[in-house]
Amino acid sequence: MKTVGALLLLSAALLTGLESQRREKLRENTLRSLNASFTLLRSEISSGLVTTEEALEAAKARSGGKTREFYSRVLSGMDRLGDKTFAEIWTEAAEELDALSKEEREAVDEVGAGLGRYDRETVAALLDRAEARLGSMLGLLEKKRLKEGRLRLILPLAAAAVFIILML
Amino acid sequence: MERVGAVERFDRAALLLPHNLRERAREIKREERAACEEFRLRLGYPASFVMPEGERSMGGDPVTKRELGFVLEAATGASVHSASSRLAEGFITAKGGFRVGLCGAVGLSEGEPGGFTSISSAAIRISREHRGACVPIIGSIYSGGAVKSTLIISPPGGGKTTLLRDVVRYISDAEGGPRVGLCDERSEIAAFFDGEPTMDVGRRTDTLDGCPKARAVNMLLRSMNPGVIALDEITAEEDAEAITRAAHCGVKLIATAHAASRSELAERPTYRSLLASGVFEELIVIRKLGGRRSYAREAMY
Repeated sequence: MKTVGALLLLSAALLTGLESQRREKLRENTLRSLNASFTLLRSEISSGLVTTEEALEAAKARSGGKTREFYSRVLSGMDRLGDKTFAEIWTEAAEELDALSKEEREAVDEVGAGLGRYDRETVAALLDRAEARLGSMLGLLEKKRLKEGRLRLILPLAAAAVFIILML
Repeated sequence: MERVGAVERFDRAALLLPHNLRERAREIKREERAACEEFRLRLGYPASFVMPEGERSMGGDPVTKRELGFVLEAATGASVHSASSRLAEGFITAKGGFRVGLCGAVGLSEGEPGGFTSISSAAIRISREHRGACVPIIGSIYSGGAVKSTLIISPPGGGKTTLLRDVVRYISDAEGGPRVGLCDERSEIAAFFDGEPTMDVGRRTDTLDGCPKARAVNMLLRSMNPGVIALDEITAEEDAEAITRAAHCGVKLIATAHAASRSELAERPTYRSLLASGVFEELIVIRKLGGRRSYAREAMY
């Protein structure tokens, strides 16, 4: 029984560590993908020739994972323009980007607050600012991952090992 | 192309209103919805709707900045950046071909209007096709395959665009009739949206949408070999010059202008020279009294 218990503890610790790593990886990938999509949006909107909907379709087509799902939600929400503002539709869609931190989601929300409301120079500047912010957050996240990545796996295992030793 | 009735056009235009005003619009009696010409939103006052006999309040709370922002967003499809050039002209054509006129604080770019820094009022025009509107006067413009160059005048809101659209459609669809080149600078006649006309302007009509009239006339002459060129609201000297050039190429013209009478038209330098040039053969004056329209026809010479 003690052996079974010990194995269960070890498994739980391993899973916790792996899950933590997975979430951080998802957060990093989502940030990277969103950042790339903002670069694309900026390029599309700067031409002044495409509508917001067309620019969002292009961003969705070139994105994967959570970012693609996010743009799908925004696009399907645009049927409700008039009942809701674009900013509200965007923010609601961004709420499901739960891999992101509060600060990261605020940076995303800021884009929605200005997209479609201003001329192309102002929107381009807004997207530049969002890219810079998200880029900076991504940089910090990467550094943190390199520094602490293994610790996320080792610490829960170590704690489980100590517990097992005490238990046995 | 989908054809919709008068009430359905009202309901589609109402989609450009914020939710609470849309609900109020739906409470208007059906026969009034069929005749309603515009929605008017002014900051700090209840919204109103415009009937042929005048403007009426929709009641309710005063219009807010947020609600005007809704209208701009709905009209541009949340794409102000791609509508900047139109907004600099003071209007946007929304999905369905509805013209949304805007007023407010204008931002200047190199001394020229460059768009709005804030919106204080909006006018949503409920454009409708009135097939058959030209029946009272078409005989004086088109007969047996031959077209007379015609100027249609009235004060603003008189129905010139609606009449012009129906004249164009009639001539274009007539058996043995000429090709029509349409200069639709403000997207009100064919009401293009997303590159497609939302109003019927006839099967032999070639439309230049969103192009300045003088340039559009020259482009049509060079490339589309029209028998007739139609254009709405001649206002500038270069428009008049382009029309005169087209007339000298043997093309017939059908155009509109803001004026209550021929004498009022003749007071303006742009029209004085146009009238003197003999380009137009017929003048149609639209008069509106108590919500009803009447047409007076004059031979120009």
